[in-house]
Amino acid sequence: MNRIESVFAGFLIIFFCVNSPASLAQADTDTCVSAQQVQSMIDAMRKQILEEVRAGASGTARDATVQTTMSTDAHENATTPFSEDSPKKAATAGDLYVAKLRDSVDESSVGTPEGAGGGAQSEFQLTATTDSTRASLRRDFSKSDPVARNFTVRSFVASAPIDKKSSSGANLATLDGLANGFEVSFNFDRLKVTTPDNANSGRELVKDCAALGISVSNDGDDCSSDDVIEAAQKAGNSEIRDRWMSKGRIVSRGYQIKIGRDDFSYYADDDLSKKQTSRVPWSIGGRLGTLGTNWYIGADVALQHTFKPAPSETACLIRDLDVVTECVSGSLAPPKGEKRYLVGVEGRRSFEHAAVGVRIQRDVKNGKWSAELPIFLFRDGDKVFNGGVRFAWTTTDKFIAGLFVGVPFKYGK
Amino acid sequence: MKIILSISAKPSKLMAYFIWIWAAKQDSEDIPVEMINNKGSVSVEPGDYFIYWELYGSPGGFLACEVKKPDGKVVVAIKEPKIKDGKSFYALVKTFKA
Repeated sequence: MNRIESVFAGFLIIFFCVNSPASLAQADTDTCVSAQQVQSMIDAMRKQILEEVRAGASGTARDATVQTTMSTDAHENATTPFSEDSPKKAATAGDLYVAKLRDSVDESSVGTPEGAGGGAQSEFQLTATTDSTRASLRRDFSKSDPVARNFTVRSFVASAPIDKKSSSGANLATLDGLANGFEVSFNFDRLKVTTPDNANSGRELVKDCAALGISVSNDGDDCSSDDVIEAAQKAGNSEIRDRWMSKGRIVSRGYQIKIGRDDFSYYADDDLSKKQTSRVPWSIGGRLGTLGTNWYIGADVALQHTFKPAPSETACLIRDLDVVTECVSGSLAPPKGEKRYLVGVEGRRSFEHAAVGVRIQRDVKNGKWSAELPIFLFRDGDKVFNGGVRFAWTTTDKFIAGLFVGVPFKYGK
Repeated sequence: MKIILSISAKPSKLMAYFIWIWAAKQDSEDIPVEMINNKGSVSVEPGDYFIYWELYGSPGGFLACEVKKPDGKVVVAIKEPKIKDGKSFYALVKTFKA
């Protein structure tokens, strides 16, 4: 874009934003920044165009005329909208002139309420995420059955974002259409130990502790698997070390039902009045996973019915065929429903000085992908990994790299 | 005369955990402790016992656990043990008198 085109692009933006500075305070827009800024831009551009014309850039003058005409030649009274003398009159529906400046809806944030779209740009982010970005109430009902070696958890979770525009740390690149609004979910998970010895391994631990010289005979004595591994390592007893190193295998399976509520705002396309509405997205899904000695691999599927805001546009009311009385930026239609068939796989692994995860998700219905790779490098006060760097990609967001804090590393869900 | 021990647990970052108790005397039988909503109870004769915890979960995951007699006296308490980095499993055995 050359200098002249830049000038006219600026004109177009200003045309749709500036004529009613008072209305900007109400306009839900990031295009029209503030009345003062826009006014100063107008002054600068006026000055620049005058300079161009005076310098003999006839093309510039013509273009400027054509552009102005495009905005006004449909009107009998060709009062330029930049006229400071333009009367500001009440708008009527019949005077609406809609101009689409740009689509700024982030397709990946479908269901994102109230214009939280981010645009499909590669970017670098600094994400400071804590649990406080999403308030939740959780009630677990668990059962530990040592005989069957089953651990069952049923949970009810109600959660809502505190800051709807904030990110969710290590779980940003998701195709989950319920990730950004209020939701209530029921989860069922059953985990089963898969190590061959279904009996009490405690007796084995007592025996191994004694064999390695760790006393467990007096009241209050204790001995852990880590003690045994360390002592066996020192003693060169690979049999005992390997026995306790190889423990920790379980498989999990579960399902989840979620119902949400998303609030949306949009502008009525007849009079640009702001409307509020809400929708109830839902999701049902299942998952499988296996925990190894220091890793986790899982897969999940979900069927979702979600809602996404209509594309963001900028529209202006024009009164009496010449005067722009109000401009708004945002959705000009109610949210639309959308089905999603989600399939995801993920892996997580912890090391002594770091932990990593990778997750790939596919929306089979809509042909979208997402992938993310969080690398946990920093620890909290309890020495648990909870921060690091994160790389993510979605079909619509493209590539994102960033830092995150306050998201503890964990295997599985 | 048997006494009832009540066991309460508070898991953190765990996927699963299991608890067993058995008497220190020869030929004793295992007493698996079924924990429902992190609470359980077992009926035992007074004497010396082992208690064994098995934890599965993420590094840093731990289980705070107390075993109490009917009079409220705590006979066993664990707070510190955690799953170490690079692991998903932790087991601990401890002796106590009931």
